[in-house]
Amino acid sequence: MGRRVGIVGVGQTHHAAHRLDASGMELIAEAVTRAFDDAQITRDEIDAIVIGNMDHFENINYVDMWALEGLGAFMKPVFKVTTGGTTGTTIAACAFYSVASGLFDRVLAVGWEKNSESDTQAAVATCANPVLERDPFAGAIGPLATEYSMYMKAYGATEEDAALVAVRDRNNALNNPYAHNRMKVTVEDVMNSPMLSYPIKFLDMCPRSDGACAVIFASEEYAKKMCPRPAWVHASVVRHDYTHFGDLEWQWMPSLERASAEAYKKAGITNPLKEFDVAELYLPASTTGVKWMDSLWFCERGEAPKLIRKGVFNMDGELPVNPSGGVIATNPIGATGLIRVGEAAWQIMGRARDRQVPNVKKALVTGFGGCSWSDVIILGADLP
Amino acid sequence: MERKVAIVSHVQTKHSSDIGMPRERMLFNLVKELHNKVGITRHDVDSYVLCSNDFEAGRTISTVFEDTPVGAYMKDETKVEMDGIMALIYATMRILSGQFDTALVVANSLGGSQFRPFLIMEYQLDPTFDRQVGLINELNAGAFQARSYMDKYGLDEWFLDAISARLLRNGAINPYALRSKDDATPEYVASSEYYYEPLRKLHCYPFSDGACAVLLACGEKAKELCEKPVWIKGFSNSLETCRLGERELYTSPSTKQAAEKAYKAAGISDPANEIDVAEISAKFAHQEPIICESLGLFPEGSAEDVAKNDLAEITGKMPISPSGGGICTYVFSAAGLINVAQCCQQLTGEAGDAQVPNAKIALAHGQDGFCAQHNSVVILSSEEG
Repeated sequence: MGRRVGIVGVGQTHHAAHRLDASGMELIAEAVTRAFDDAQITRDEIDAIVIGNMDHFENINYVDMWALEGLGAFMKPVFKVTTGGTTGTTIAACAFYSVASGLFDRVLAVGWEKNSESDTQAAVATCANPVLERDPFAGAIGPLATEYSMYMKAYGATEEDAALVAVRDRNNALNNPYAHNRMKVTVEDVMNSPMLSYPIKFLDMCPRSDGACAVIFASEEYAKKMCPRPAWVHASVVRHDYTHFGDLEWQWMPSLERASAEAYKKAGITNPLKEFDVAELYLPASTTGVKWMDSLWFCERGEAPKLIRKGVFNMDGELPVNPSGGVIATNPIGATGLIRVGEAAWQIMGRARDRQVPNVKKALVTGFGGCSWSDVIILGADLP
Repeated sequence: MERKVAIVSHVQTKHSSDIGMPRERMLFNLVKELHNKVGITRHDVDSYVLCSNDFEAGRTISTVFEDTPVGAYMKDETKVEMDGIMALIYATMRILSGQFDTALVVANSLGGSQFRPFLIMEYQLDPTFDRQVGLINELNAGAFQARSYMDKYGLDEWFLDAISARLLRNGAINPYALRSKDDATPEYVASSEYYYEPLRKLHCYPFSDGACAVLLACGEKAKELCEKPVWIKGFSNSLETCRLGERELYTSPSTKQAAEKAYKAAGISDPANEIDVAEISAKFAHQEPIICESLGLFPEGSAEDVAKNDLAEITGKMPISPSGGGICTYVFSAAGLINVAQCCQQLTGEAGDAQVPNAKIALAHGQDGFCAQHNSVVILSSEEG
């Protein structure tokens, strides 16, 4: 039944709004080189490569073919996968299956985006039905604003609850040298920032960044040789919801509920809040940092605001969420999910430096995208 | 490989230059047909690998509207954005990983009626150097490649006409083919207009609408679900540089490397004799000999001899593309997967007039990019072995 797979190296660029010093290919090369250094290997030791991004953002079709010089992919098996916001975790899943299949021993997973060369919102808007839903739901903010409005009405969550999440993630980013937005903010700052789409304000929302991330997956045999403490993959699960926004359940997130329930089952997790030591979650807006905690089974539906107010997910709380600063600090879209995987792996490997949570044994990773699509990956210090 | 993976069933559309229905309807009908053929419902499928292209669909996340019609609601679904044969390879790896027992692969594009494949390819050019100069497109790059092969081996255009004529005749006995002519001759092909010398209209692929779905399962499950599983014995893929000037276009080192690995996995030492039939993704007539020679099916530079001696005919020594290949139908994103489906027909004895007698081992090939920059090879067998 398949092979065990561990993460043995991670590299990422210094993310920014405009990386004028580097082309897309150079961003990729920067992340790949750093991952090679982290795992202490060379290009020759890579058996296959998985790459992904959002084609329309940089207007490059078949980016695997163009980026091969940055990837070191010449005359290697290459896979290009892409699924919108979940692209980063889709890449990680593909790399995981490639190694688990027994065909490849060391696989390089790369996600990237150069949003400064793109009209990101215009490109994202094309995924909505052009007649029925492109106007109200174009871009990323519309659906997120809708779901939190309904959550507030149903369960009495507030805008301040979301602001608490924004403060947590943004201040965590101060400890992460790779983060794009690094600013000390308070709840007042968030509440006073310009309204984008009620109830989401400027400081609640993710930016669009230039950046890339590379993660190296290895089979059990190699991982044990290559890394003193690999981050083992315990589960990888994907669930996709209906296509039309109007068909979705808005007060909770069925795809995340089902994906996490299945992943917990595979990894033998029964009490996620207690058993996980850290979580790197794809939270595109601070509002989701409230609402989606329900769907990750940390509490009953509607109870998340209480946990947020108690600081359960702060760095010194029961389950630190997004020590890296998360998506509202850094968002090179095709890389964003993979950065979650890489940061969680570093937490397990003990390489997270200033943002290290002590003694991490189990880490939870999520990806979000498409139309409420959810990916859940669980990493652990112990063999699965 | 500890586990074995087999193809349970496959379906494809009747390919067309305008299929006349929305993409979602096309995919729903196709997958429903497959469900009925196998006698399953969507609840029997664990995992989905879709394959389509954002540029062709004119939509970022092209699969957003595809996953519901194919039945992937609340399923583990993903998308490969390459040739469809790579989606099959990824689905195979998902089953080999032990995480899933079944996987449905669905590839489609509406390159005939919606977005022209030549334009899709424009966006593949390097945005800084090649694209802005505006001198390179898929057609003239193809013409350069044809000329490179002709110059290398001192050939004139006749072999291009002969290859297209054979494929058009094959297309006439393939009920799914878009373009065909049952009495096509080299003279007939040579009478079509030049697109870009030496390539004529009938040396180039037609813009096609279509889709293909293939159901994979692990060995035990495949035997439960069908009488004649087709076994996946080996596969590989490889990538060359995107800088055309740095490549020797008359040959295909990436095909060669992918084939070597796939042959090794399948235990094939003498491909020309052991492989009974091959379905090759050649978007232009000249790519067929270049790829077949790199696969080791014919000697280098032998295109004219192969045509003169009818070696690649269905009745020949090494039948190539009995379906009519890329000259009859080239569904962008799905072409390689359609080749797999055609090979399955051969191996299960369902290929009708195109049947190669006693076909036991088949090779399916898929490609992407300018002058076949990226190549994939899958070896299939009717025997579990």
